[in-house]
Amino acid sequence: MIPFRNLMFGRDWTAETRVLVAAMAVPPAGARVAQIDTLIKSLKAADVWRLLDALYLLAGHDSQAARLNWKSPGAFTLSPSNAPTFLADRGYTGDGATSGLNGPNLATFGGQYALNNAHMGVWCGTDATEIVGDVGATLNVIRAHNGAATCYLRANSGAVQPTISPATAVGHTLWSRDNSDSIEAYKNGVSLGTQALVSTSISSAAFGVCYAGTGFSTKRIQAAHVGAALTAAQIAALYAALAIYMAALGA
Amino acid sequence: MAQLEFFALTAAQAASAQALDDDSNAAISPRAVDNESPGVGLNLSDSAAGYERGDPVPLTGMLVAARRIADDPAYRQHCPGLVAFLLTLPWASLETGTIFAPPEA
Repeated sequence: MIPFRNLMFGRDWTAETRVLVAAMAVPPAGARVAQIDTLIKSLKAADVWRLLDALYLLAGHDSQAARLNWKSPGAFTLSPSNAPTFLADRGYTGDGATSGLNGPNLATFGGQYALNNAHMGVWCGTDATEIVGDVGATLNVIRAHNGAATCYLRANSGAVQPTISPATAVGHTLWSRDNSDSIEAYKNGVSLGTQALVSTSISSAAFGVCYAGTGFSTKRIQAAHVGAALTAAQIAALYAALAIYMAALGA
Repeated sequence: MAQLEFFALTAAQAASAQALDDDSNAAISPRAVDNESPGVGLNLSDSAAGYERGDPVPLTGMLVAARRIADDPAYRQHCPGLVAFLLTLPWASLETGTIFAPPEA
């Protein structure tokens, strides 16, 4: 067996990978470190990495590792509240009533997320039609499957419900805002179209995972992220990188 | 709506529970029972102080926390005192749609 120290320092891992893995209380296997490094390198190559405030890969090998903010381990770590269920390599699931993970206040996040320059994304591993948020806060929400064929998005604003096809929460749902009048919504890297939606304010509330505001979700959440606005090309690259990572886990 | 098992706590007990948790690794945040007519639960605990199994558990004005907290390995590891405290409380199987007001649309 190759010693963990050699896995960490004997290969060409990025500095970000080294910092992240060092923050994991239970060291990941060498293959997982390689998958982490591939994902980070892909996001850096697509110029997504610098625009993130937080990236949570909840489908972690260990619950503590799953709650780390990859962008800045040690800052904005998610904390579990009321015992959400963790399943290794799959993510966290809420009970739909009280449980979830608490993140930082969106209004004072890492400096990228702003009123008219922001994005939020979630990767769901299971589907449920629920009129509750899967991630976010009061004015900053993603309900990945809200109704018959819609998702529900709040982007520092009121709500809009783009049509999703197929109508499922499973996969990557994201909104991005680079102006005050509209947002662009995406499912699995593909645009759902520009949605007229005037910005109002950023919720001064915790970024929730498995819940948003007063609504609690029952979907399994495998990844979540927030940051500055992303271009269509960056969103496609982000989706592709996450899809490769999830596939490697079998998630 | 789902049927879930919840501990029932007074406001003072909720504050005591929160003083025993681990904010970073295993937090508890009891949720208020906020439906107008939540009814009563039936205690299913054999160890609740002051309750026999099957005793009614009043819910109006109470808070609830998921029963599974007491079984979660992270809570047992990081805040065993909280788990021990919760096991002195009554718990019941409750309809979430009966005890909680609907979420904001």
